[in-house]
Amino acid sequence: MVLLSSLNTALTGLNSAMAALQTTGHNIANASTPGYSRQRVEMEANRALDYGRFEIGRGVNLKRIQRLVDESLEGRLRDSTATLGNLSVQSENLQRIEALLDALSDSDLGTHLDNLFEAIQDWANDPDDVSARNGVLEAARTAADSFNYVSGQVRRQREQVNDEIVVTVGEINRLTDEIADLNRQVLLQENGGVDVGTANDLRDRRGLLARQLSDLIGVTTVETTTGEINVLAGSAYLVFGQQSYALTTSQKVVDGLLFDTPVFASGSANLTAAGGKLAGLIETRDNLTREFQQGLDQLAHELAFQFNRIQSTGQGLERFSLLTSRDGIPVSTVPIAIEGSVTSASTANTLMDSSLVGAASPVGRQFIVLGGRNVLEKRTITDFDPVNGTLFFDGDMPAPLAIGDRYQITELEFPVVNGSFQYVVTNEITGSQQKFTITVDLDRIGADTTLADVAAQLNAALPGSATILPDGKLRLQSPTNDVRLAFANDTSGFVAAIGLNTFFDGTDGESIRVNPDLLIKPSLLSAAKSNADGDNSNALEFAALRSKGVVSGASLEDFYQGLVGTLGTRTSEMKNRAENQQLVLQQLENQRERTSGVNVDEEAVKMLEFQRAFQASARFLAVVDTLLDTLINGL
Amino acid sequence: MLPPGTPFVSSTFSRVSTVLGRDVVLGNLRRNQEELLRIQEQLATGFKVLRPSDDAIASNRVLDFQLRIRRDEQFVRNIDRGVSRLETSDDALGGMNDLVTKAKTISLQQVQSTATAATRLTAATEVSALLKQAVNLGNTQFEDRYLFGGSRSESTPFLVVGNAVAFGGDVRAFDADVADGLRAQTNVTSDALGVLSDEIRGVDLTPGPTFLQPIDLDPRVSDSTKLSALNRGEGVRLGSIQVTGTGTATIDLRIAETVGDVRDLINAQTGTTGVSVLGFNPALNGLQLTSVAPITVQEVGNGVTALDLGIQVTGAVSPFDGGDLDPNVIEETLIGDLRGGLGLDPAGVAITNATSGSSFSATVAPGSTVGDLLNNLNTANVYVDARISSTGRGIDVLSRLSGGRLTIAENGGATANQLGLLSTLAHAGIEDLNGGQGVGSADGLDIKITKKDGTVAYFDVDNATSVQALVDAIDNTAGLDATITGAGLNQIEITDTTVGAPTFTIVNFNGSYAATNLGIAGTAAATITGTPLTFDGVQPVGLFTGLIRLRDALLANDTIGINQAARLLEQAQKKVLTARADAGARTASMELTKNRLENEKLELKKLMSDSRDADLAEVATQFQIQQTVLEASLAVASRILQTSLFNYL
Repeated sequence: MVLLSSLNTALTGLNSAMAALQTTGHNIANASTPGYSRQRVEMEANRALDYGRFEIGRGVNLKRIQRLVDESLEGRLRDSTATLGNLSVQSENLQRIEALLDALSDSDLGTHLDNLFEAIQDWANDPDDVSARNGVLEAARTAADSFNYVSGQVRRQREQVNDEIVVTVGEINRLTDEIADLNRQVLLQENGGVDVGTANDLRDRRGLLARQLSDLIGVTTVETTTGEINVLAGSAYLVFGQQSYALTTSQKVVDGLLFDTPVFASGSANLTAAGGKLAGLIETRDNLTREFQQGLDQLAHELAFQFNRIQSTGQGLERFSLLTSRDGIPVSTVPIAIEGSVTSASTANTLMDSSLVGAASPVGRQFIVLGGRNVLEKRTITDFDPVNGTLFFDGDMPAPLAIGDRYQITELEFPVVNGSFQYVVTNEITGSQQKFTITVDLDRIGADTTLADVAAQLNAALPGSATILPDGKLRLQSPTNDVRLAFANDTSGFVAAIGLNTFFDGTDGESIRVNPDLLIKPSLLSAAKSNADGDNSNALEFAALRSKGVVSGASLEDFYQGLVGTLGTRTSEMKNRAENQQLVLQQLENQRERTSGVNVDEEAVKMLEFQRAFQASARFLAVVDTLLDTLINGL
Repeated sequence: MLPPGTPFVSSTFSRVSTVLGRDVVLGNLRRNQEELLRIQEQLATGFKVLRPSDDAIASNRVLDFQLRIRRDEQFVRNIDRGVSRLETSDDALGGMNDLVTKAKTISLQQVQSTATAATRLTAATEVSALLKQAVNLGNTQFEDRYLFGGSRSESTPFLVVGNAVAFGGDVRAFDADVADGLRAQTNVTSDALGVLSDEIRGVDLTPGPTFLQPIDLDPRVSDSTKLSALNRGEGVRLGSIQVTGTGTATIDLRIAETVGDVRDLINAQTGTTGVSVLGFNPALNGLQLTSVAPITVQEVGNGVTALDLGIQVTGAVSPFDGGDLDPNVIEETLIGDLRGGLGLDPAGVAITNATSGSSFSATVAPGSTVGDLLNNLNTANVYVDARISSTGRGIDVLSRLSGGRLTIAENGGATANQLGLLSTLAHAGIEDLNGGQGVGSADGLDIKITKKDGTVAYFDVDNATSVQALVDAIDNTAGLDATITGAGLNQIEITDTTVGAPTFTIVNFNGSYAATNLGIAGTAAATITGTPLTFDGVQPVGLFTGLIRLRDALLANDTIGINQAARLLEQAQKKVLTARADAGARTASMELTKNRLENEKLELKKLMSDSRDADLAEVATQFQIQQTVLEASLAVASRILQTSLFNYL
């Protein structure tokens, strides 16, 4: 009967209005919930009863509650978040380094270098004055301390970034586990994939987690037909259905520090972090900070070498009766240094140089790279292939060696070339100086000079003066009290490289320091090139170093300015990119808000609408009830 | 930094969610506040560029300016020190000038007829005092450093040795950097004062066209010869060369330091080129290349290496003798390599220098170097300065003893002759003849020679720098031949080759005694051979020598000697005045540089300020504007956030 079915019609009206009201209430309550997409009730008219000539409708049917979300927009949001995560990490770290360097202030490394050269000029005006000498040593000490500080802080920053990588990996694992679990719950709630798309709040939460994951490591998602999502980082699965693939870290030693590389725990695939904070952290640790550190180390290395060259070939107010080198060559019968350059592209742990074909085996020796992206890297040779001229060594290079990169096989920290130096023997009583030429033949033709050869030449000049110590260091001692030793005119660099009469000890930013012997005895600072006390020609050479192009063709100060400039440009560029990306992300989020965000006023209007609908249906129900009552009780 | 008001409301979609509204308001507020913070930073520091990333280009300029300003300030400091040093030196020089003037006056007075032996004795005491003052002035100190000692500034430069004064310093310049790439000498070196003799310079003593030319000790080339000493010290411009014999190879010579290295590098490629360097050419001064095929050595690119090495050639027949590499004499040159490999007579030289004849014999050990010989001479007690000559081809020995006479003689061999240092009449000075008394020359022409054909020639001995110069002057005159002869090469011989009268005569002219004292006065038919002459060794020509000679002449009551001393003092005064002028010129030039530096500094400071400093007026105005914007923004925000439909339901 139509009347009885009208009751049902009223009931459907009441129910759907109620459901709509509840949904409105749900929307209003979640207006500020992050990741929430507003829900909308979809209703359709019920199937009408067919009475032949006409049909009478049977009310409303709640078809479903729809979550309003633009999936492609969600995808773009994830990508944008990943990019921002990457850029903001890099920008922040670059700004930290910039603040550390503080280049425009009056107490930065560049100013200290400047002060050193000024102190040297004052010393050149007063070469034998003790306070002028002390001024130079103080300024040198401050500069060395500055190097140590900045280098140490950069290293600490690298270590911190490494720690953050480990923490981020843990976060990623937590998120992938949750997403996998949500996949299970969604499947359950959607009745095994039958009612796909109905688990609105679970899906919202899953989408939010996917965005958070993308912030950490850029991901893409693919929804399956059963309503689960698979999460990929690049082409490797982080989540497949209800299975999450955990990440872990593998450790290896790089630059003397223990670094963690994120990898899949199961080893099932290669992990490439192309976006997100993880990518930013890895880039910061492995490239940004490393390149800056490398620049600092190059500067410190060259500063030490050049100052040592000038100090070692001059004479102070007194010369030496006993002098031991800082460095040594353990095997005294091999050439002091063998110079070459890379002739074929090499992998990360090989070096190919055609000039080594057929050469004697250098296994066990060390070599140092003198140019290119791996400058100042030192390795020990573990194997040698004389057919192709290939060296194998321990520990990968940060980047594969390129054709044309120069290197030297030597245990010393500084390069030595074909040349000679003079051994100056002074009779302190008569004041006469004898200069003996010591050849350092390193042209790779015939027999090259070994450490034993050098000692032999020194002893030929002044018998009994040179000894090679067990660790390969060279010791010089004058046989009598009135004879003193010094050096001059070193075109080979040997005296400075092996560390005789040094100005600076140490070879890079963290290790550089003033030779403690000089600090104790400032009279050893070489102002002169002779034994005349008022000779300032060597001090003037120190001063001339200021404008000599010694680091890749640039002077020390210009190289520093270059470092500052590069850092400044990079930082500024990264800051801008991060800010622009912020803007893009903001635009996308606003877009999302327009589509999926709750407008409370809109909900208020809807609320009125559904309230009236409920009231109207209730009224109708009352009317039908009255009709029925008339029928039943009136008969 | 995105400017506030960057539009967030896209006009394609007209729906606004609650959260969107809140975010827009918050975003704008945040940007306002950030901008305010940035402005505040500028106001607090006064800079608009605080870190390189704010403006990489500007900060680069700022760093550059900072460096240059500090450098200029340092140069100014250096100039101030240098100028003080020079001014103090100048004061001392002024004092010396006064002494010389006084001495000249004394010498003038004591040659007058009014002077007697007694007055001269008194005057001698005065001159002694002047000498002492001169020594004191020479030992002037500036900031605990002796000004006139060169680089030996810690020990007294001038010492009284018996009756003479020895110079114990050196003549090295003391330089300071006064501008970018500009180094100035800030001391007065004592050679300007004439404390080192001008002789004895190694000269060629073989009779002939090169007689008395600076000697060329012509070291031969050996494997250990440094490339930097080749080509008379010009060295070799190293690059690559292309060598062709039976094959061709390009050889990079840039790592070579010695001639031996070049040999090794060329010989390393013999397998490819068929060209080898087995030794040196027969003259022992260049490389010798051998090959079975014709030899070609060419430059690579624009290089000049083959040329500098004397081996640039095309299609030469083997063996090809390379050109003379002409290495200079340097301290490491082996004695045995000198004179094209002949070396030196080991007997050595005997040096005498002093008023009281102290002498020293320096032998030449085999295997020793030029440096050893120089060291030997310099550390002996004869007050000489032995050095490699400025041409780099020989050795000079100069006297450091004012009041002494330096002569170098053989030590039983021929070494002095080989080194060209033997003291001979030929290059003795006219004033050094006859026990240092000279020849009694007059102002103007001194000698008149009447030739047989009747023509007359006049000569002024004061024009001659040495006896040889005078002899040459006579020899160059038409009709006259002159030379120095005799067993000891101590007699002048003049021949008249003209015809006419039976004899020619040589007489004193114009009141001079030159002809007589040169032993050539007289008459002869063809040749006049002069009497043997004695000559004293060389002496430094300077104020100390002048004062010492004056004192000694006064003590000896010797008017000729007083006149000679007066002439010496004349020359000495010239030197002192020249040294003063030099110091003055240098001071003036440094002051000019200082002015330029001060101006440059100001310019740079201004440029730096433009790049770095914030325009405070502009920034303060911006601050006001931003503050107003913030306030308006806040007011509007509160209105927007409060309004909702629920207020009205």
